[in-house]
Order: sequence, then C-alpha cells, then structure tokens
Amino acid sequence: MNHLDELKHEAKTMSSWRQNKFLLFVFGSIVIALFLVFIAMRMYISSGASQLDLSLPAYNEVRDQIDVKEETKSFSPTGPINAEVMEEFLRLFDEQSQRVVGVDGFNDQALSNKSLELQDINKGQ
Amino acid sequence: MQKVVILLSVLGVSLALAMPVLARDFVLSDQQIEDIRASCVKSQAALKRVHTSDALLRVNIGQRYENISLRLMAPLNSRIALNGLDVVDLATTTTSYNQELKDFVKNYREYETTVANALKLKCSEQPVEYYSLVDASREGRAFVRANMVRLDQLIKQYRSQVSDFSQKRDLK
Repeated sequence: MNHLDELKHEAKTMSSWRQNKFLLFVFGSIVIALFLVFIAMRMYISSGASQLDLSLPAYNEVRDQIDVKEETKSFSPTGPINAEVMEEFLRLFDEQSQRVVGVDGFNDQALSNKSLELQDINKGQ
Repeated sequence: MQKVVILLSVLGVSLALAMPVLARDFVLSDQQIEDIRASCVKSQAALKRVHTSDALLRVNIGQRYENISLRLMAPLNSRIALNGLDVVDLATTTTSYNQELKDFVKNYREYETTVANALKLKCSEQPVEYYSLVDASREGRAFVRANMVRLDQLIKQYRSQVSDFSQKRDLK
C-alpha cells in the first residue's frame, strides 16, 4: 500500500469531528474572542468608563480642553505637624480648591426650554 | 356578553385617545406635541452640545475633586493622627466629602444615561418620550448640581477646620 492509499484509508476511518478539527478550532477561537469582547464591552459600559471616555469621536472638539497637564502636589502623610507644615498644606489646599469652588457647572439654564429651542410646555397648560 | 366586552373595549380606547398625553407630571396637548415634533431636531442638536460640554466638565472637575480627597485631605488626616493629635472633625468632614463625591459620580452616571437616551430617540416619531426624557434629564442635572454645591461647602468646611486646628495649637 503506498502512502496516498494509506492517507485515504485513514481519512475514511476518521470521525467527522477529527476531519474538521482545524475548522472547528478556528470557529471556536472566533466565538471565544467575541465572548470576551462582549464581556469587556459590558464592563466598559457598566463601570461608567464609557461616559468619561473623551477619546470617542463625539468629543473631538473638546478633547484639547482636558486638563492633562494639571498637576496636583501630594501632601506627605508622614512627618511632624508644625506651623510651616500647616501653612504649606493650606497653600496647596487653596490652590486646588480654587479650581473647583464656585464653578458654575450643571446649572439648570442649559436644559431650559429656551436653550433647547423647545416651546414653553408649562405655559400651555 | 361578547357585545358588551367589545363595546367596553371600544369605549376604553376612545377615552384613552381623547385624553391629553401625560408625560411625567405635565400634560401635553396635541398642539404642544406637534410643537415638540417640529422643533425636536434642533433641540437634540442643542442637547448634544450640552452633553459634550458636560462630559468635559465631569472629567476635569471630577479629577480635581478626587485630588483634593486623595492627595490632600487623606494625607493630612493621617499625618495628624500619626502625631497623636485629635483628627475627628477633619476625618468626619473627609468621610462626608467622599460620600458626596460618590453621590456626584452616581448621579452624573444616571443623568448622562438619561441624556444619552434622549439623544438616541427618533424624536420626530416619539416627541412625548423625548420631552419626558428631557424633563428627567433636568431633574438628574439638578441632583448633580446639588452634589457640586455640597462638595463646595465641605471643601470650605474642611479649610476652616484646618485653620481652627492650627489656631488652637498655636501653629499659625
């Protein structure tokens, strides 16, 4: 029996599972990859990361306004407590708090009927 | 019997159609629904701009709020405690601040989800649902705003407590 006949004989006796092993391996890998992508996307959305992801195309115009260069010095958690240390802390604290205190964010005007170019619904009642 | 059931069904449907549409706690007349339908595309464009600028503000200010807690409040509290001094007031304020920060994050997530849903809607086909989501967004936005106001107060409170702490121990 030559080599080719041996191969033909072997193929006949093989189960269909063994014959398509390579295809099943490729298909299985794709299914596993899709499943992992699905889990990753679920985590990306459920963790809220998607809401803060300014790399999305919708945020193109504002991306350059992200404060990436803003540095906040950390206060050391160890060491003595004296007038100099407290003064230094207050300086750092004031510097940082000035960036947030009094910021007029999320005011109600932005979603008023006028801002959203909607008719005044309440007046119509 | 069958006739009565059919009659009642027809009556029910007629009444439902005749009644003005209720969206959350307001009533929309047919004219108002038409007005929303007519202007909703422009409105969605305006809402999208607000959505974008909100995301930017959330990222920037959220980072600053976290820095105040992690890089300043927590280290000072630890340092004072390690020196064997009373840190109860400062720790209490820090705990309130961290809780408020968590609420800010949570409320922003809910608010953003509502706005995103309003933006996804085909508002010309679903004007009432659109207006209802806009109204819910206003409510969510007010919660986020309230969190910011409270965080401001806690920052001022912490600052004042640190000053008091220094004065009491003659560290100024």
